[in-house]
Amino acid sequence: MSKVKVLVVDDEIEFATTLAERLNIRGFETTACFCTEDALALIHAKNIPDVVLLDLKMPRMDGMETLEEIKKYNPTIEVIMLTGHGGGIPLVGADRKKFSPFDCIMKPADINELTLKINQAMAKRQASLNKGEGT
Amino acid sequence: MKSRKKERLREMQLAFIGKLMAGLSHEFKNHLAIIKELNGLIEDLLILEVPGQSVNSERFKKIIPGINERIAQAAEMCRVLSGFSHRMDQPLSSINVSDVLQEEIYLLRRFAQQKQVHIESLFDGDLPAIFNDPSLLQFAVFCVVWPALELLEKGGRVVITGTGKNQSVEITAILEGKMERPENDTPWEAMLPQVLEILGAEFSRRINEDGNEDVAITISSIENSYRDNT
Repeated sequence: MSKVKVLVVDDEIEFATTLAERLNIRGFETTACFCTEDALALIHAKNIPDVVLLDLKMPRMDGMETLEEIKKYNPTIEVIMLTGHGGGIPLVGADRKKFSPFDCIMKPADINELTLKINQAMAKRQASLNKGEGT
Repeated sequence: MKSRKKERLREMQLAFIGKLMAGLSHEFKNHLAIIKELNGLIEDLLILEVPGQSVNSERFKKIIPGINERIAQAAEMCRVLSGFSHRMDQPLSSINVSDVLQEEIYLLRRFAQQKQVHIESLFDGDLPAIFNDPSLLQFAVFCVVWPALELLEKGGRVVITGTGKNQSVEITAILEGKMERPENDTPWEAMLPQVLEILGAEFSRRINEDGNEDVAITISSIENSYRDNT
């Protein structure tokens, strides 16, 4: 069985690389990107992750905009937002609902909670793929 | 001052404090998240350690300074936050303009980074002490710098300088870079005349040939009685 591909996108380099290493220890195939442009370039180059862990607040393009770009490109990729924002994520408007993330986890996150969410997100993506979506 | 104007000022000051606190708490959570991940990585490596084999001490030696660095940064944030909060304890006091504004610039730095605008300060070392309202001075500078951070395009630069002039201090915000100005002043800029009146400060704005702006606030000491009358 192939490993679940996870992409961590966070401008805090130390956070992204350490989390990626910890997820790899747990059997995921994890890549870290430190800006949204690199993450989107990676996805557009057909390096499709199963699950993206995406920081909400980043320079230039924020997490919600990036989520929309990812979902427009491939709706089966599941995105889990990571945020230090106390008020959660601003899910307002029809478009925001259309491109909603799989879940939103507050920083600092618990690794066990995170791995559970990744596996649940992967199960959802697999179900979408089985239905022929996003192909 | 009419009560509605006072009320509006209070609202805007609360919004100013709220914006800085929101940015700071977000940044603080980032430090905690990194400490948690680095600590978790040590835990992972220890659990994965093969019995009978020595612990990979070299790997740990690389991780532990990262934790210490983040704790130091979080502690520095708390120190600045404490100073910022105590500025409001005394509406009028003898202030070092450099200290008061360096503190504010520290808190604004995160927003500047998000916008990819560079912010820096350059204060003369021998600024005269000013008897005035430190919290309101921070608010006045915020009313100048915040719209610039919002309007300046990526690569812009904000330089805040402080120069002694007799018994006054001239604070200049040099705003460099492309900036799309709206037709009307932002709510922050619209608030500025009222704030400057309370501070007894003078104001000037100059647009240079290259399009960059110099915004100057000159602040002096005021009497308690002056404040009572504004």
